Amino acid sequence: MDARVQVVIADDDDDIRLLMEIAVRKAGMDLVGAVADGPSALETIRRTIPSLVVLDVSMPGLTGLDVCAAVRSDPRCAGMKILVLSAGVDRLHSLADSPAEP
Amino acid sequence: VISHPVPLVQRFGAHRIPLMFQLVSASVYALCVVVALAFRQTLVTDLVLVGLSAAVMAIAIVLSAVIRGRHGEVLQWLVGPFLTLLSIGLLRAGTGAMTSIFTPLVVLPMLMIAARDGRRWIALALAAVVATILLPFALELRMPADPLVWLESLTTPLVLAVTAILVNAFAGQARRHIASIGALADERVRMLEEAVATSAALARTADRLLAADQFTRGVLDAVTEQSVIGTDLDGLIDVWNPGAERLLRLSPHETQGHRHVHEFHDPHELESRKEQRGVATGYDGLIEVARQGRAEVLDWTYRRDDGTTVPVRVAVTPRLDREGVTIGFIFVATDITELLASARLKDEFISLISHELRTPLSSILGYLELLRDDEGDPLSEEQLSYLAVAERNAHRLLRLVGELLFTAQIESGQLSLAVRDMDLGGVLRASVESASPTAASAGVHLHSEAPTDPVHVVGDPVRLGQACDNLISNAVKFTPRGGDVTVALSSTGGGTVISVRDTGLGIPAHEVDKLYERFFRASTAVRNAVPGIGLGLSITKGIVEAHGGTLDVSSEEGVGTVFSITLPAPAVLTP
Repeated sequence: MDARVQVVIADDDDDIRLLMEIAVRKAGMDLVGAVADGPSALETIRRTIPSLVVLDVSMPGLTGLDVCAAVRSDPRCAGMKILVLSAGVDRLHSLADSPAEP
Repeated sequence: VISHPVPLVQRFGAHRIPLMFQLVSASVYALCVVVALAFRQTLVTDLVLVGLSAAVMAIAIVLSAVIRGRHGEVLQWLVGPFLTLLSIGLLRAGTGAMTSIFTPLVVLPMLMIAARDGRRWIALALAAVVATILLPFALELRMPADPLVWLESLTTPLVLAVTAILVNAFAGQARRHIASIGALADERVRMLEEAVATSAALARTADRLLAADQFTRGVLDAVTEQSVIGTDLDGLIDVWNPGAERLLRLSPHETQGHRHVHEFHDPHELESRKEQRGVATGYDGLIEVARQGRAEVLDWTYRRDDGTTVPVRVAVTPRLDREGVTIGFIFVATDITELLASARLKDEFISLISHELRTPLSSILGYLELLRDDEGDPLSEEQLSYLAVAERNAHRLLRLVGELLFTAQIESGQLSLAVRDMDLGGVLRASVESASPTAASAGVHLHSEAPTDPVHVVGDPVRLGQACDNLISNAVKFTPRGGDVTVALSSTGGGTVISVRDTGLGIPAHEVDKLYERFFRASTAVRNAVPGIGLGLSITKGIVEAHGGTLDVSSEEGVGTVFSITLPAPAVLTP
């Protein structure tokens, strides 16, 4: 197994996604998937089982929170780190393990 | 027109009565004169005196007919009878004096005089009769020699006196009787007039009440945008205005007296209200506050008979009778469908704008950072300084968008707190630390008097930190170079107080009230070109109040300002 942190990025804003891709590479992580919608994100996560997932809250198909919930309920994904990003002011307090920084 | 018994006197006219008596006397007298003339040989002794007598009687009739008026009344009543007596006296003298058969004629005029009110008239009448009887002797200027004459001049008046006394008494009694009847009649007239006046006043009052009632009905009918429903204590409907008709699609005939107001309420809402207030029925929950004499405005859902629903804001008030006793309730409902729709639109707008404004800003900031941190191709110092300006402004824009959104959230009641047990001292120290660089570059001394021991409160550390940041950065902004900003924290049994004191520009007294208005900026801020858009304090106040606390300010222009946040003791807050 590759020692490098494997990352999946999901954001529907191309610029932000590209920015995150660059940041991930610069941080020396391994980008295994960069997608623009919720269903693709879930599919990619289930397929690659990364150690870190970065999700935008508002995405077409499934929101970041929906994806997060689905991943959390999937035993294969146990211990996976999930970072949910939001540009909005949606309520995230209900998700204790989802630090939200714009 | 009121009719009531009219005394006889008034029916003929008071002034005619004496004349009528006079004419009666005169008729009898005339009969006697005719008799005297018919038997002239035996009866008449002196024709001249008889002629004189007739002349006097004629004068008496004429005077009785002529004398008029209030002052004439006594004369009217007296002149006739006395002249009549004189005339009879002359007749007697001319028809044999003491042997005259016409002596009884004196009775009529005498009674006319004696019937007058008062005993003195009796005396006067008797004197006149005596004078009449003795007239023949007066004419011959000699005293009667025959003692029988004296006797006659006394016996006749004596009999007449008794008659006169009786007549006077009966007349008096009759007069009093008539007077009391008159008084009763007057009283009756007065009472009737009073009754008429009272009924007129009642009619006016009734008119006024009717007009007021019609006005009220008119208003009720004119209110088509609000449903006005009136009920009795049990909620049975008896008032149903066109607004209610429009809102609930039922006519007054279908509801008044048949339906209860709670039949139009969403049963689930009534049920939860019932449980919430611990009352017997949902209807009790509906009118509970109004029953205590207070108005209550709440949002409810009305359910029409066809099953459709409409959100309404209902004001429930008690309906009082004249004594102020509650006899029912009034429900004034406004359709708030559009209000809710616009609130929802606003929420959607907030959500949209938060995303659409912040996403590009995040992009800008991210790529600026990439540029700045590009190790492969480092930027020159000059380029870096340009980038710093761009970054600073992008951050400013981001903060501004954040403040606008936050304000909108507070206003729409969407501010949600992540409340937990927290150390307020730590939050305050972090705020002071983050403000330190700005304070240092502005030449403002920033002191912290916060205790190092933890100060436990229950609250949202992020929001409270934001509130502290706002107050401290405001204080620094408004304090000229060389001034002081002192931050203090104290905890008492009643609560925890954070105070931020500055030696800054101060706020003019008349502007203190407006401080928390959105986009308000103190004149001192504008004059001194202190940057800002006037949202910080309204946000701070919103955060503090969401924690159940208060934000207070005391300020003196040119001396400085103290802002203090008072948070209630932890027990008060429910996390």
